[in-house]
Amino acid sequence: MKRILFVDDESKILDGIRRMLHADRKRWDLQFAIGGEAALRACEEASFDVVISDMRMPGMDGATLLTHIRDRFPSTARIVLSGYSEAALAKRVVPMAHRYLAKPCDASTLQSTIESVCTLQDLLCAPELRKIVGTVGELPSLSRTYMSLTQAVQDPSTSIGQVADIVGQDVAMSAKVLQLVNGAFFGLPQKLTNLQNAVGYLGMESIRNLALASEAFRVFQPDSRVSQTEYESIQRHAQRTAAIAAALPVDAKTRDVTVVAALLHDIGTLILASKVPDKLCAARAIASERGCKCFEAEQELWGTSHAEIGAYLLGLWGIPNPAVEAIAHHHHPTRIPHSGFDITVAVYVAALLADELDLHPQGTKGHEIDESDRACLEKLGVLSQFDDFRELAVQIGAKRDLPV
Amino acid sequence: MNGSSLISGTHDYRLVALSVAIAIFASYAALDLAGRVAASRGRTRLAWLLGGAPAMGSGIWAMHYTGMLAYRLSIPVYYHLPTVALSLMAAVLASLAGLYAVSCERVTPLRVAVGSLLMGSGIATMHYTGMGAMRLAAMHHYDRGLWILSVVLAIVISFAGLLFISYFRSEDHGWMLKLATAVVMGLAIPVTHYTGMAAVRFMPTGIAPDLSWSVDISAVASTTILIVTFVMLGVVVITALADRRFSAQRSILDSAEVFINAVPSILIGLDHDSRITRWNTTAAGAFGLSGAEVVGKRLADCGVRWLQPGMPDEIRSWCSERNSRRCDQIPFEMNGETRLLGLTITSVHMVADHLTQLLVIGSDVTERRALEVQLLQAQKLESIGQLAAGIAHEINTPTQYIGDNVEFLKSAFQDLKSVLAKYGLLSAGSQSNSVSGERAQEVSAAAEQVDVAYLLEEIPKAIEQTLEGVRGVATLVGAMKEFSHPGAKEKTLLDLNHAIESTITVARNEWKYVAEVETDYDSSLPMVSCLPGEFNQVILNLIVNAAHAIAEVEGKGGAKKGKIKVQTQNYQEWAEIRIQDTGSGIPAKVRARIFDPFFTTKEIGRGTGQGLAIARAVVVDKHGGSIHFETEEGKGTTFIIRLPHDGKTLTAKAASA
Repeated sequence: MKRILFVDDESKILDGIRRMLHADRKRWDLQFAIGGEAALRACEEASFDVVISDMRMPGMDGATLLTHIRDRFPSTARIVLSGYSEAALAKRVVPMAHRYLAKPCDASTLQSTIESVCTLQDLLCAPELRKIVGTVGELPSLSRTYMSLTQAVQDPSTSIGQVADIVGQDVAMSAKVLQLVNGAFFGLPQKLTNLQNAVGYLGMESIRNLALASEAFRVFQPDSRVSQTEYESIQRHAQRTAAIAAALPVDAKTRDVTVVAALLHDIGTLILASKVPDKLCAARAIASERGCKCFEAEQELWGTSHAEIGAYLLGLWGIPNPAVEAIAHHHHPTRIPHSGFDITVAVYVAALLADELDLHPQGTKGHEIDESDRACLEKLGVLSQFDDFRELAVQIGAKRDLPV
Repeated sequence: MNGSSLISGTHDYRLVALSVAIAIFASYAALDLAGRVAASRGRTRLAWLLGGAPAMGSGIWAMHYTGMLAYRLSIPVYYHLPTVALSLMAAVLASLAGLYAVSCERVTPLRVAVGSLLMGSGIATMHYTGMGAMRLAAMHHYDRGLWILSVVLAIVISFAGLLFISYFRSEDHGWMLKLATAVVMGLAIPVTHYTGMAAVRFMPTGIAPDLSWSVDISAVASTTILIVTFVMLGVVVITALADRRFSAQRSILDSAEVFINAVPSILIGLDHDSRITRWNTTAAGAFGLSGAEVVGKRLADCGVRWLQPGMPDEIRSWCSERNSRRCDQIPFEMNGETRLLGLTITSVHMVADHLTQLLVIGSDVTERRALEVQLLQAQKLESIGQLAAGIAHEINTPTQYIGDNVEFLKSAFQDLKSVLAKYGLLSAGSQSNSVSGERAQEVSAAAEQVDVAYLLEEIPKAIEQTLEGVRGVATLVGAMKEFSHPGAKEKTLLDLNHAIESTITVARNEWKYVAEVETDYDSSLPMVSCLPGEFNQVILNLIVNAAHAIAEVEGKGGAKKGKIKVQTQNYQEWAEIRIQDTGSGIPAKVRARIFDPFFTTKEIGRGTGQGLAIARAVVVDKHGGSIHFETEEGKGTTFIIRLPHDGKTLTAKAASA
């Protein structure tokens, strides 16, 4: 049974949640703590799977509490449930919380958030995943530029100019970021040629995420046993997926995270190609032998797949949690509950369409999708729109201006 | 020619001395005259020229005649009056030329030269014409050399004299210097005369002279001439002196007038009868009425369109008070626009007539007032903006648990319904006497399934908390309305206790994390005439400040919540509000500055430094109250506001008591 701790300074909030989630008492062990100090004491007594905390509390506030929990109990998922909707506060939360929920939050949102956080946690904490990640060995370190960029973005006093300066110091990164900004993803009315404008237009967080995307492709150069063509096809697939995802009807506010998630959704494959090419080749061999999909072969071989591996790594690198989730579930979106056309659905649909385009570059009209995907689309409630999406993807695939 | 045939003349030295005295006096008068002529303009100048020239001319002429009288011949001498008059005329014209020459603003050597030529020849003309007026039994002829010398001397001395005058005419020089100049000139001028006298030779003819129109200059006559001359010259000197004094005063008055007009404030003088006596240029500009249009009229009907009934009368009623009164925001209309005046009225006791006049000074404060309103509005918006997040939180919190509880009630009802359904079956069975243990077991199983005990315990609490939440939101929304007081721009009677309570509620999110608020309201507090929105703003500023001061202590490691104590108390003349915090106190070095606009100790972005400045402006300027504080570093601060009951200004004693 998942142990979940709710923290608030208002006891009536905790009473309300306790009653509301009374029906879930069979699957979740719900605990309540008034204030940060009490919560930390509870964590010390017995670990929790999920902590859901208010932000502003007298004494130890939510940010401090979650930072302590992140440092001392890293496997605990952290969710913020706050009455404040200020951007500054939300931004401050980013590094220490996995999810941010605004009060008032209805029962189903709260439940589905807890569910998806738990699911991701289960996936990423699975011994199978840990085992394969263990074989990957030491992860390559990201550039200092990216590190200082991440730090700068988390500091509320950072200005647009400072972020632009940090990216500007790294010629390769700034070229890549501008290329991504001006690519087909964001539908900019005009080309942005300087970083300051790009940061101003897309926001610091997005620029940071795009910088991460360019970093990921830089650090995972494939091993000699994987052909250059293979590597390029992975890149092309990533960009195609991103371009399609950006065109899908996702919430405008999450478009940049969607693009980043789509760009990086197959980063796990790239990690395998670069670090443990033997394992990847073995999985490919099984897939072609059985005529099944790669992730199915990987699942069979290791009990996990490139999706979870990529999500795990990106989680360590500080990519926003919704993107981690979308990457982890991009072959199994129905593992978690959804509310509408969210990032996970967008990445799943985009990856599916990009795959079709990869296989049939001449056109995919009337292409039959396989049974499991059909069922999945139906469950997500987007089957009826799929043909429209496919048309969109074909148009995008025809364009040649995607950055490489 | 035989010398013995000449009639010898002797000089009476007493009269010579007198002539020199006259010359000195006349010179002094000439210096004065030149100064006045040069200092005056237009008609006055002409008057001085035309009046001065005869006086100076007769002075010169009198000197000449005294010199003539001093010359004694052995035979009787008569004077032909018309010729005498002619010589006087020559003297006057010579003086006119001289005065004119040196009284110009810029005296050039050429001008002096021409002037002295005219004046010198005039004097020579006077002298020889005067000689020609002599009627005696002798012929006279002149020594050519001495004659020419006398004319030349006349011109040269005139030249020197005019130069002196032009140099010393300035009224800056003291009378000593002027007198010294006059003495030198007075000694020089008779030289011409006596040279002329030295040039003349009288030869007896024995023929009786034609004595028609001629007179013997008797002692009486010459005394009269002298007296008249002295009087004339005396009048000149005294008049010049008086004129100098007068014009000095006038120039002081003139510059005062210029200054008054240049004052960039409205300046109006009112006499004891409230009639306008003074109306400076700024006043003319501000009201669009010139001084000429309004002076002499009463303020009430001078043409200014006062919008406040009884306004000018009110000013008049202050006449009896000895001190100054300030009056802000007096509305009037100009060009269809409503404008506001800020005036200070001072009563001035006039020594001359023992009547009290009013001095009204002020300015059109319309724009400044507009800026003040905007600033207050901006600060209000700023604090509302700051409050908005807190208020959202205060509403979101109950909304969260109301929703949760209702959600729970909904599912609880479903659960109970299922139990009731079983119970219905049981009940129906009992009616038909077919009670089976099985049915009863079903009911208890269903009850256990849905945890009826839990539901029965929790449902009333859920309902209670839901209602509490709804009440909380309603209270907050009510308080917000109370706080912002839209539309109340005029003073209204306000229940201070209630207003303070609302403000504390609205600001709850600002203090609740750092402090408890304790209130102690004096229920005997009467309603006080206030601007509600602005009063609430003051209370909000002070409460937020108190919370910040406590947060500062907490930030330094104080784990316990602080306390904000809000107290009201009724006094004879005023209502007192005390807001006490257990914060950090105000450091001694900034105490004197905390009410200054833009002074802040808070970090950038947290405070604009307007809060206390506005608090003071609202309490002191708009409500006639007082605001001060007691503070101890490390212990906390208490702000004390006093508002007068009657809406009038607190006396200084009450404010500081």
